[in-house]
Amino acid sequence: MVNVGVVIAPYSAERKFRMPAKGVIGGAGRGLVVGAAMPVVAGAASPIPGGTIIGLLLVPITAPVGMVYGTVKAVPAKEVEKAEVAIDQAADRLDAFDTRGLFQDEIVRLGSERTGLKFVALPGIGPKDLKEVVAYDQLDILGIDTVLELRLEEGGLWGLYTIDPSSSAFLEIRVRLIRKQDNDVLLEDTVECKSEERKYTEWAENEGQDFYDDMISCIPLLAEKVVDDVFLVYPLPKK
Amino acid sequence: MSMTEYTQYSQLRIMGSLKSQTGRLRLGDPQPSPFKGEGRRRVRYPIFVLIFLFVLAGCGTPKVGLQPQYPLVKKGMFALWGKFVEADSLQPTLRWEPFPRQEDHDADQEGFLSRIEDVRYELRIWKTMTASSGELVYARGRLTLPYHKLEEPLEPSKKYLWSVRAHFIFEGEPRTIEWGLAGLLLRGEVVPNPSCFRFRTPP
Repeated sequence: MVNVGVVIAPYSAERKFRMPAKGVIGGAGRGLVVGAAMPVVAGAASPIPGGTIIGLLLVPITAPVGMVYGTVKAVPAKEVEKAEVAIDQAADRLDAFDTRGLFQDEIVRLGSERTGLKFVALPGIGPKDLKEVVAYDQLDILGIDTVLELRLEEGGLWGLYTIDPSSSAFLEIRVRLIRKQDNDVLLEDTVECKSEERKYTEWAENEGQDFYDDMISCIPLLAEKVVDDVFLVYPLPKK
Repeated sequence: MSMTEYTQYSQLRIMGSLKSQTGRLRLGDPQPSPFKGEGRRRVRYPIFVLIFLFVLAGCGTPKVGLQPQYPLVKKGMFALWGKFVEADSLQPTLRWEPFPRQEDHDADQEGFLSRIEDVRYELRIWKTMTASSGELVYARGRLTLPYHKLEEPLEPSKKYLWSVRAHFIFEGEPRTIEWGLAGLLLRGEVVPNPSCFRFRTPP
């Protein structure tokens, strides 16, 4: 039987938040950028020859329109700042909660239940920072053939760059499956969990509890995705 | 299949160079880009126009896994994902392609399909507000037939995401296929995600 050691990097996921434009000035600035970028992007993506040039020609019209729209639609700065405090506190609570331990336990439980392999948690082992590459063959982890290395890479709220964007709570995880005897990386993938979308100020309600809950509820979903994709999904032949 | 072979599959999927000429997965050579050298200017716009027309004709909906037979995927001309098609009742009978599909038989040159047994289906339904994710409201596993009448009514006038996948035993080991998805395929995201199939319940 193959024994899989489950390692989770001890560092916290990088926080990434797509906030609304702050107040009239922030709204005007963001509106200007969005208004200027929109026709250029649309032109570049369109199948029309010279679409980018046509888009560029429209910028002098769309940029000021965007600026005015941003000024009118922006969320008051105080409201954004208040929401920011609530969401930061919820993110701090998440950091204090043992999300990594929960994730590791869930992987071990699901992996053992669903596959014919034996999954073992390896606490205290793993890359200490983003750049560290661990030589697992040098470690004293007897009985382990393969290491499933997990890193919580990024988490937060993300959505489109608009004046007051709807955003999803998200958590992104880097997965590497490494053969212990020679540190050969058998698989490297990134998996992501996203929630339903809400406005930034809505996420901040009840001291950011919805954000906190949605981030926690991502953990079992991500664990299932990792176990399924790495160990269970069979590669169907393609013609 | 060894773990190395599994992981090769995943790596290939990531690299977008999945090849299987013999029924086994192998690392394929990178395909030459049509946008290299002098040919670039000549081919760029015709290719975009062809892609545009292909999407316009509604023939280009990317898909993975078992596809629904009811409710069907109906995608707008420029939409990334399907529409919320109205189901016929609050307890619809959801239908999907049986596994293995004809395309699996056609591609099976090494007799893989003759070595699988105990095919079962797993069905999940999520209630959604914004279609970006959802709350799991119905799940059934070990279904033997490629359809299922919901045993409990869903809420009226609500949007739902759903998906299905097949589980089976291959050479004594439990295996599965990917969740069925359609449209812009978000295969790196957990389900539910916007690529799941969609329906809404009647009032």
